[in-house]
Amino acid sequence: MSNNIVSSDILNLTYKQTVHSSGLKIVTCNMPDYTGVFVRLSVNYGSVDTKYTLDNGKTYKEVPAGIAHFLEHKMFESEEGDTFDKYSAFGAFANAYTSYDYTEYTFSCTDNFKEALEVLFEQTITSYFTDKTVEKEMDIIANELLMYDNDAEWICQKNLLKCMYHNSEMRDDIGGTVESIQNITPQMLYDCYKTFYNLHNITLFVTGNFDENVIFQTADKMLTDVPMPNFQVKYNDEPIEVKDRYICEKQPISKPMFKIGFKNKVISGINAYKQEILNEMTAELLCGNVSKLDEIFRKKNYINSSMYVDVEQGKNFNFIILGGESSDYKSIYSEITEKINDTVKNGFTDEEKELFECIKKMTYADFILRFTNLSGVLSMLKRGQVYNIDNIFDILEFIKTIQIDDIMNSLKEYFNTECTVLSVIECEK
Amino acid sequence: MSINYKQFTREKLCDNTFFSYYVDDKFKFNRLSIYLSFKEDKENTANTAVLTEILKKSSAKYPTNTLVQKELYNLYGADIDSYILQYKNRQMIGFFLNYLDDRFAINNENLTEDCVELLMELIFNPLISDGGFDKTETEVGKEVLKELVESEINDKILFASRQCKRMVYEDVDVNIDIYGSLSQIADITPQSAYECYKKIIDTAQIEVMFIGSGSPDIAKNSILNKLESKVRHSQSVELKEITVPYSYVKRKTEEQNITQANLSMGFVCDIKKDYVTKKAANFMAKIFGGMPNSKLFKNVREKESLCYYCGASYKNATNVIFVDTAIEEKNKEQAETSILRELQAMQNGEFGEDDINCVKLAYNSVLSRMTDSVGGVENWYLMRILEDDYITIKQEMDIVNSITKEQIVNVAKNTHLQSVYFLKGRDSNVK
Repeated sequence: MSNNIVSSDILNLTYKQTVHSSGLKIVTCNMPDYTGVFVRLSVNYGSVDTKYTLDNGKTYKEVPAGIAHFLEHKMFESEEGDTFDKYSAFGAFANAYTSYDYTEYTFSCTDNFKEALEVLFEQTITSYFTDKTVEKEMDIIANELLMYDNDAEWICQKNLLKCMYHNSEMRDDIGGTVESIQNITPQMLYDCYKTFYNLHNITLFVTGNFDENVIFQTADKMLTDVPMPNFQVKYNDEPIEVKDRYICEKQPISKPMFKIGFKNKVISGINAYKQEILNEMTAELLCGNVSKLDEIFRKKNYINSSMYVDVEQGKNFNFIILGGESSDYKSIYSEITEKINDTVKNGFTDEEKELFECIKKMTYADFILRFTNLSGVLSMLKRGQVYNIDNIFDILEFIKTIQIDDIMNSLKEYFNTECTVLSVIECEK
Repeated sequence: MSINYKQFTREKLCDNTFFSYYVDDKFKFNRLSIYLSFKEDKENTANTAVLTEILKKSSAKYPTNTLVQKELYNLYGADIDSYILQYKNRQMIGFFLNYLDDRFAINNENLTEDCVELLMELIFNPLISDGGFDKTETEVGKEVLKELVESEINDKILFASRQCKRMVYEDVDVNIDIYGSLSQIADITPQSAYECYKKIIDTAQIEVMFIGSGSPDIAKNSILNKLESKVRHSQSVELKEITVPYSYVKRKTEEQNITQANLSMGFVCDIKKDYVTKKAANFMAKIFGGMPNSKLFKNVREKESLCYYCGASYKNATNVIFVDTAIEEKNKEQAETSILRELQAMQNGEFGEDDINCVKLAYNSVLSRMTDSVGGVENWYLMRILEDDYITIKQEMDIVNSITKEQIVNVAKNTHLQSVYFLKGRDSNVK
């Protein structure tokens, strides 16, 4: 078992990265001043992983959209019944969610950490799918998908991604569609489970007040090394250009909502995380609370609340969204793209350079605040792992070194006005 | 500097003005909050609500929102927000400022001093002209309230739930619309909002809270300086119990262009209003539909596959349990029948000690973790202040651990369906 211990004096935190003999990666941060424990088991398997090979690319298995999410639901069922019951019996709060790239199982507790961890391990290493239980789950998931179809914000995002991507798996909803999930069979679930739920493909994160020995003793007792299947996931080829520039749909909502998306090339590693921070700062300078554009939009009564920024990247996607609510979304879109082009041509104003220093301090504070509670620390440890960062605390020093030129580079490279999509939800009359 | 109090302390500073603090150096930021608590004034609902928008946006020293925002940016992105709380006949408007603890400031800036000064300035020194608030900020505030009221339609589960609440509370003194009606909002003027502000500042109970890792003394001294010599006419508000009638079942169906229907049901618990009985009602709601191993989750969702979401929640102030679910329209009758069947099962005592223990464990876990976050500490003590019930976490645990099956069944037996609200798609035949 190899250990990598990382500490921060300023944050008074230490975390440890270990690989258990079973292949499970374990990342722990002991915080004895706290009472609770937060646990996250992260399977490197998300909704975009729908095409994979087990024979070095000779043949590919293609599975229906939504299967990772379906599997997440089914992992709560065992022959003895519902796993939620087991967590509840130990006073633990369990949940799970599927994203584009990961499937994650979480629980939090105070007492009975060992018992709840045993439930989590048991849940991970066993699978139970029958025709009957799979069919029953289809109705539940169909209801879940229909629920999202009533959510205008969700529809706006879904439409944006359909416009942004030509062929990518990102065009499919994380949960798939009511139609696609009908094609899921118990055998497909077993196949995906055996391929992706191998312990070498999983990381366990634990933060809070816990006895570290409990984790390793429980892992020793329950987990064995099963050789990792030699799988590779293939993603559809995707050009850098967007597919469509504009989409508008009507929904019963009170005020039009919009999302402006900037499609970007996929990057990985520590530079991807650094770029994410730079993109967030750039967006803040462009149209955040005290930006010139925000002031203009308010004066012209385009908006009453500031726009939001969402920077998302993963295995096969990388995009930035600037969103908000306004009837004047077309004017907002024009002014933002004009402002970007103008700044790229003429540089930042003195006022913006001054504002940049404040945004830098804000970003520094924001990074520290992410380590202030157990779930926040857990998320940061996960980021460290996703971006393959040896020491997540180094980011704090990186933030201090950011210069206005870095923001200009970010604006030029990641806010390309030729790669934008405007997705709008108009009010249905 | 070595501060590590780790215990909640509340002191009276001056006339109906209190200062509370909880300091623990594990936190990396501080939260300073000012709450103004007063008797609900229905005539002034919108004028009260708009204060939560106007006050945080400008002041005499910072006459535009951009200036306030710039100051917040200077303070390492300190974050200010506000909200409205209501408990029975008592209303509270609160303003809070979260900011990085001084020990992390790169250039050793004294963030606490500046943040305390900023929050005090915004609440106690507003921008006034022509006997009223600033016209622009008042108009922006009105627009935000209007959007908040109108945006209720955007979230269908929430919309159905609120429509159901309106039905349940139709005949009692409970105000669901904390931002006021659209016509009340339209009637707000800079002068009417300012009059409302003056009245609240003059009469409210003032609660200042400091939770975080820094020293609370600067905030304490600042509020003392601000209010010590001020003559106020503060009034304490005695909480009034609310009894919701349930003589017949009200039904309402509405339509929207939606893909999935929403069913919300309101149940009145005709029970004693003491703390222990209310806690038993909480247990009843949890076992009925408040946990992943609840009856509604296990049977309505898992066994019958009728929905993805079906949950019950108990409202402490009114003794009402609400059940909200999103279903296919064609399953409406089956879902309603199933929910009522599960209530019947609760009334028959068809649940075990293991179910009760699960709730006890869950409560104990939540209570013991309360001090793990600034928000958790504030929520717990704020509710004690709002409810006038200064119970400790330990006492709460003791009550939780004392709840029996008999008490829970007794609540279930006295739980009566009062309202059914159904939101369905257009052109549907389902009634």
